[in-house]
Parts: sequence; structure tokens; C-alpha cells
Amino acid sequence: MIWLLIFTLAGIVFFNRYLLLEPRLPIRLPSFVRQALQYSAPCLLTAICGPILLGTSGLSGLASNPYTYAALFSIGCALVIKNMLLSVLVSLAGFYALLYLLG
Amino acid sequence: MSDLAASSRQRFWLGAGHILPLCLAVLPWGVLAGSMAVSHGFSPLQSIGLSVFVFAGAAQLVTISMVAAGSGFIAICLTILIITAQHLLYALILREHVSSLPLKKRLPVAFLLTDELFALSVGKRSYDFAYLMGAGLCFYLAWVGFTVVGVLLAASVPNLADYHLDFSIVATFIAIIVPMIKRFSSLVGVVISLLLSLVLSSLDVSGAIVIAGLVGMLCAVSVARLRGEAA
Repeated sequence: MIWLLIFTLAGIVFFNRYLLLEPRLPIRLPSFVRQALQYSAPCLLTAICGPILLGTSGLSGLASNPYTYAALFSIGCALVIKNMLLSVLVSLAGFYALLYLLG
Repeated sequence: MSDLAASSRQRFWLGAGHILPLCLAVLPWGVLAGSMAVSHGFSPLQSIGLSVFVFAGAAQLVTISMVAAGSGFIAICLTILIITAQHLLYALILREHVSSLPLKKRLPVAFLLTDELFALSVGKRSYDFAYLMGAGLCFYLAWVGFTVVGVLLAASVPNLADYHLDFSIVATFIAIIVPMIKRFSSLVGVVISLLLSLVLSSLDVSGAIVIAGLVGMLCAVSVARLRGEAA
């Protein structure tokens, strides 16, 4: 099952990469679609964080979840530190410090 | 003839050299992709297979977390289809240079077309097949190598799941997302995606991630159009 998923996903990703390199394809994406694609990365990446932040605690547990505060700290790091890698490392350090403090 | 061969070999290595810094930058993500897969129930071979065949960092991490969350086959495929849709734009921009190549050259360029390869080639005035291959193959080998390191690491460290490695996905994505928010419309899209994703996931709606992302994208475009933001 996992292997079937891996090969299906490989096909899907390759399809997205190849499609518009095909010379026989006449290209005119509707402008609304092209504009929406510009937002695909930030919106989808954000949506993916949702279930991870919820964890097992659910919506009502967000206020007492260390993930919530660590995520806010990460946003602060990303705003202040312009280097992406360094920003991730600092926010991870913050997260583990928080877990340690909470025991 | 030999002149041509020599210079295309030179361009191959030039491309490889140019992408080296980007290879180093994805080292932690590659290790993470390998170790996360193993700690979320993928076999070592499957974990490496993800990098070998799918070869898309964010898509791999999303796949791993969705499989771990028990998402359905179709929901995962749809999410990956949409999340890797930015490649459509990359291909559209590289099309001018690549679509005139024969099929046997277009296929490898497409397979190796990552965010990093696009970032490297889009600013250049001239890039050709040899250059793209050098950079793309170098990046591919680095990515697969880092994944193997991650898999080995996960195998030698027991109870990796207890270390809350899943937060590193959130931390990584936040570091990627925040610099992308340059306009009010992106901020609206991201906030709506987050709220919807939290609410729909807590209600166990299948496809919560795709719905939240798509609605966020639509809202972002609508806001951009209403405010008359430049595309």
C-alpha cells in the first residue's frame, strides 16, 4: 500500500513538473488560476500545520498546548532572522526549551 | 565535436558547483525526511524510496504526516497534486528554453525540476541542458544521501517519536511561509487556511488540508483583486 502510494505520488509530482514543458500543449491558464497558484505554497503549507498543532488535544486544548506557543515563537523568529535555516534552528531550540521548562 | 563535448562537460560541472550551497541548505530537511518517515512507520527502503522517486521535500514531509494521521489515499494524492502545483509555474517559466529540447532531454529536466533548480536557473540569462543536468543531478544525489543518513539515524535512536520531531515540520514550514507573506492578500490566505484547517481537522473532516488550502487560495486571490494588488 505504501509502495503504491509512493509510485502514485511520484507520478503526480512528475506530471506537475513535466506538463508545461510539453511543447504540443497550448498554454493559456486562466488568469484566476495562475494568480491562485501563486498562493498555493503558503496556504497549503499553513493548512498542513493545522493537524500537527491540534495533536490529540483538539481545539479547546490549543491554549494549553506547547506547540501553539512554540509556533508563535517560530513566527517571531522568521520575522526577525532573515536566514531560513538559522530561524528553524532557533525556533526548535525554543520549542525544546519550552518542553524542558514544562517538565 | 570534441570542443563542444568539452564545453558541455564544463557547463555540467558549473551547474553542479552552483547548486552546492543549496545542497547544504537542505541537509537538515533531507535528514528529517528520512528520519520522520522511519519514525512514522515507513520501512527504511520505503523512506529512501520516497526521496528516490518523489524527490520533493515538502511533499514528502506532508505525505509522511498525512499517512501518520491516517488520511485516505485520495486525500493524500489530491493534497500532493495541489501542493506541488507551483512546479506548473516553474515549467511555464523554463518552457521557453526547455520545450524545444527533444523528449529524452525534457524528461530528465522535468524529473529534476525542484524549487532549488528553478531558483538557480531563473535568474540566469543563459542555461542549457548540460548546466541543468549538472545542477539537478548534484542536488538529487545530495537529497537522497541526506535521506539515507536520516534513515540510519532513526534506526540507531530508539523512540524517536518521543522527541516531538513533528514540531520541526511546523518550525520549517513557518520559516518558509513567513517570508512568502509580502502582501495583505497572502496574509489573508494564510490566516484563513490556518483557521479552517484547525476547525475542519478537529471535526475529522476528510480532506481538511486540501479544503483549507484551496479556500485560503481563493480568498487570497479575491482579496488581491478587490484591493487591486499587482499580480
